[in-house]
Amino acid sequence: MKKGVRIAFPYLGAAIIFINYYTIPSLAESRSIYPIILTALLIVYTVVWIASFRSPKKIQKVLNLTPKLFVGALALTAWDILTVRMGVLPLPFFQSFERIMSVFVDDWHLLLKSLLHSLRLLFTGYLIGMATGLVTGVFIGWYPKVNYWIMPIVKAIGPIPATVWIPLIIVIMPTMFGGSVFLIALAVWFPATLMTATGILSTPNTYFEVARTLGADSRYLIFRVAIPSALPSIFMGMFIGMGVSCVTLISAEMLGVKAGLGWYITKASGWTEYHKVYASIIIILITFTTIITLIFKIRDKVLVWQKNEIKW
Amino acid sequence: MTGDANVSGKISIRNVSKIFNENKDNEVVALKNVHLDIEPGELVSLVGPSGCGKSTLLRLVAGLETATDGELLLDETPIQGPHYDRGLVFQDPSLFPWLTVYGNVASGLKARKLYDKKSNTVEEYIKMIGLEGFEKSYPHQLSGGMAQRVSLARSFANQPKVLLLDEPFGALDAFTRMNMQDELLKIWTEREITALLVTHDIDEAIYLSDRIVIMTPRPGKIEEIIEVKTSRPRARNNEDFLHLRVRILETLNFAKRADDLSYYL
Ligand SMILES: Nc1ncnc2c1ncn2[C@@H]1O[C@H](COP(=O)(O)OP(=O)(O)O)[C@@H](O)[C@H]1O
Ligand SMILES: [Mg+2]
Repeated sequence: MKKGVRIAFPYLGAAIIFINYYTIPSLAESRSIYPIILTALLIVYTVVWIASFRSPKKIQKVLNLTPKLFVGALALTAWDILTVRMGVLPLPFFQSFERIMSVFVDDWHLLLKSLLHSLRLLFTGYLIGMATGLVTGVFIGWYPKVNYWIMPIVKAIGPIPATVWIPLIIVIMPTMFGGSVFLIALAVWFPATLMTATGILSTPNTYFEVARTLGADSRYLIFRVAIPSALPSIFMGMFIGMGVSCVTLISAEMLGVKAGLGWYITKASGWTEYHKVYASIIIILITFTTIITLIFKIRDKVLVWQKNEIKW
Repeated sequence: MTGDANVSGKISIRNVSKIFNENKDNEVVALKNVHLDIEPGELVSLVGPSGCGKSTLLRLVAGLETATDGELLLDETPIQGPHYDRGLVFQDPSLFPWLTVYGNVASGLKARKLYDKKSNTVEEYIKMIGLEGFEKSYPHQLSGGMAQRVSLARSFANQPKVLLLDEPFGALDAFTRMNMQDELLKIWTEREITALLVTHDIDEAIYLSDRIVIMTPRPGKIEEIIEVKTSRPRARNNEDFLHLRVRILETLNFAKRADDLSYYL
């Protein structure tokens, strides 16, 4: 396909959205949020497109994206027609895009507060869980005795969803924040421990032999051989851990914590304000994707020494 | 300038036997009654068909295996576990994949906490193996021969008193191999180290060694020890060499292993 056509795809998609927006009458009162968001996105696209001129690789990247953007625009148009234009999809379960976006304008203060509260909880729990998981994983991987006694416990407790412990934690922990942190840490601890231990246990023996003939002590063997060799596996644990900690966080907030995105969702659905539910889901998606992308970036930096083909 | 100035490098292998899988039904006698004394500063080669226990013998001296029977001594002290005095170049390069070429060559000094004092020597060894400019490359970016050279430099940089080499030049092309052989001779001469070299290449054994130990398999044992009396520096096309070559091949033939013999021709 001609480059010119592909570059124009997003503009074409935007045109379709605009035509739909201004020609077909709406069943609900319009807030003009749609045109603002769309114009902003078009400006961003244009800037990115112009900036990509510097390298053919970047141009190719943008070109690869344009069909997706076009189909996305079509999907948004269809969504708009089915909801607010023709009313085919029933309210309040189905909400128009514009209504969902309006939440970001009307309720941004509470949303932001909830997001920050969730992030604070998430990172505290995640970091504690990762750190303790690393330590237990190293101990299990390094000392056969620890492996023998502790590994069965890890394997038994690990697969139980952390949220099961909520009733118990409400009784034991003095504060709900502390309880939630503990819950998230517990959820992360399991994959972190397991993947660290697995990584260390599967370190090829030759590396230890080489290091020992070079004069390495056990400190070197653990920190400069076993752990580096286990890093790919540890990163796997970090990804899995991020997934479960997000799930646990939202569940914990839905069940007891009186703040955060999970709490926001529960409250909104209690009032059947589903547009708010969807708005917070979008925030969760964006946040989660950003964090995962960030971990990916760190992973690629730390694991440059890996062959490209085993990257996932 | 080795770790311990009091190590002179005499290796005594006294009636050593090594049996793997010591349950009665499928045990492998890798070595049987191997007896060998290596003088300080001597360069000895081990040749023989695969499976005759050459690597096992090297690993025993390195301290990575324990003998089933007999004893191994360094300067009359029993060998117990690995030590940086006895450096081993493995048959596979076995580089640390998470370290660069530089990091790998420096790893011995770092393990021994000597890096701060001797970091300037790392670059010398990289130059010696001809890999300047590759300091920041990772092992997966190297060819087999380059990786093998890094593995050599890693052992050399640690300045062991005894150098154990398991087919160290196997992956190299003919020219690089001759180069590395001369580098080995240079280091061996300068540092007065004791070297025990496993090789598949009879010419290499003759060119480098003071003595050549010919081993035969099932069970692995020493068949004959041949002294190379030709003075150094040796020419690679020395007349004596042809003589020795024939003799070694005859010894291996005497062991009635014609199929393995074809490997050397
Ligand atoms: N770790 C081990 N476990 C069992 N058998 C082994 C082990 N290492 C070596 N062997 C056996 O010992 C014999 C000698 O092996 P090796 O020393 O590697 O021979 P070479 O290096 O001369 O080819 C072979 O039969 C081999 O299968
Ligand atoms: Mg071998």
